[in-house]
Amino acid sequence: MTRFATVPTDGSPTHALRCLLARLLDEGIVRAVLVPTRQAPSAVVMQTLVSDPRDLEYAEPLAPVAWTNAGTLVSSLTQKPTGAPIAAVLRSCEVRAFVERTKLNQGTRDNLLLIGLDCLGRFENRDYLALADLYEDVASVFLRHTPRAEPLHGFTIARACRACEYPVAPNVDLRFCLLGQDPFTEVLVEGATPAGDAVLDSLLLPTAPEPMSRNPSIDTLVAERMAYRDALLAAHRARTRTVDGLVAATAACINCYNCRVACPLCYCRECVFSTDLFRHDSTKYLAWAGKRGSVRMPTDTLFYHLTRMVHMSTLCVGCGQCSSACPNGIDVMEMFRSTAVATQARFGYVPGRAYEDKQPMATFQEDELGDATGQDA
Amino acid sequence: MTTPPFEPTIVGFLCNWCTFTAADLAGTSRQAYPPNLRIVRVMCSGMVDPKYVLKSFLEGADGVLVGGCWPGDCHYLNGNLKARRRVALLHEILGQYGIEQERLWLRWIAASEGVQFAEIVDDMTQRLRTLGPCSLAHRKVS
Repeated sequence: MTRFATVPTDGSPTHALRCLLARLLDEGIVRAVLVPTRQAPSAVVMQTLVSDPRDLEYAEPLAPVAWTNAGTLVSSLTQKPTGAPIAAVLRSCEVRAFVERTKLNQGTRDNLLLIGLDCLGRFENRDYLALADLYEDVASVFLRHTPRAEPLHGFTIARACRACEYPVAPNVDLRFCLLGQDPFTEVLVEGATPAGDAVLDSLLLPTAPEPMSRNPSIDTLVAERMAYRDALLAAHRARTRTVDGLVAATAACINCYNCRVACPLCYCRECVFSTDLFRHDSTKYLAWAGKRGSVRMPTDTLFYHLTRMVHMSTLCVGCGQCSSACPNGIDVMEMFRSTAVATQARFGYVPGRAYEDKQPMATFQEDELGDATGQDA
Repeated sequence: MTTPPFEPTIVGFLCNWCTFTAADLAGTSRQAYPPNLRIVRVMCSGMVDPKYVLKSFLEGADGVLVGGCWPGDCHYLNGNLKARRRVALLHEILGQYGIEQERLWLRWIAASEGVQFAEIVDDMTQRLRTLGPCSLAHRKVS
């Protein structure tokens, strides 16, 4: 049974959440908070580990931007026990990525208070900076902007977010609820685990009834986003259902591997594509060109993308950081999400759904997948 | 002059303990099978990294055969069951881009099954002759 508490915001939800996070520090509930924070004097908002409550002055938990998927950062913060409790304010895709990282022993929930945020979407980084030139408080402007999938001053939230069917972060201890609420009056904080409830108790927040408008509001948003997702992926599939389509989709790839760096589920500590295995001997290129008549350079581009699909498509949470990181506008997110639909369905796997679910490539059953061999007993 | 019929190239990753031994048995017992198969002996089907399969296709294979022990017979207990997951994953990924599932075969072939080995290679070759060249093979891009 989850319970809700109410935090009055008096017109400034960002300020109210800063105060709430400061109380977590003041009352010693956590030693530090990882929270998106404006990197003053720049308008850039990066996740920042804050231990001094005064430094929360620039915290922007509601800023509609995510320079990086913080799942990776929380994984770094928790992979060795520190003994100190910390809190992290994350979006749904970041929590789901973190859940997957814990299964790879790259992070743990121990001493971690996960705070999820109803995610209304993020703008591409450059678009956010353009908006920050226009508005001092982009977060509030965006909260007031409806429908949120519509352009704001010509800028629309990232395609990945418009296609995201998980606006509500799962597997968190506390949840800042924005959907179905007027965040300028109050933000509801949901205690979703005993640990989260304990925090609500120690903060002495007034209990609130479960809001009636919340679930219908979530359902409407999810339905809109799923419709957008299905259309987006269907259009992408129509373009790439052949090898020629895949070649065309990745033609502009320069092997910068930004998509890999940005991906919270590219978990290898050293990527094989950065090893000597792919530092080919000079004569090798000539041999390829000789054998095939010509060879595109840089080489190994399709090999790279296909291998990445093997490594992480079953775990893809659809955060879209890959597309945001691509310098050449390749639809990496569409490519990976549409492949992920097939691979995740094959193993009935939903990344980020539960800590207990085993990752498809980390387990096997004696009796399964008979059609893979065509030798069903 | 008619053009010769298409002859597919098949790369076979055969486990040392069962399928490779079956291939050996097929040879010593004079079983004929198509010369389209290029055999790579591996210690276990479970060590066939999906990259080996992808690279084979990118370097010109029209089909890839992964041969392992029957479930329960794996020399390393369960390498073949891990191979099965990987092959199922590759089927999905390659299938997204129009590369037919019939181009990547995983077959359990025991050490004593020399005849079956020859039959499977024959079946696979026939099937790939019908399918034609793989669209990933011999591309100018890799």
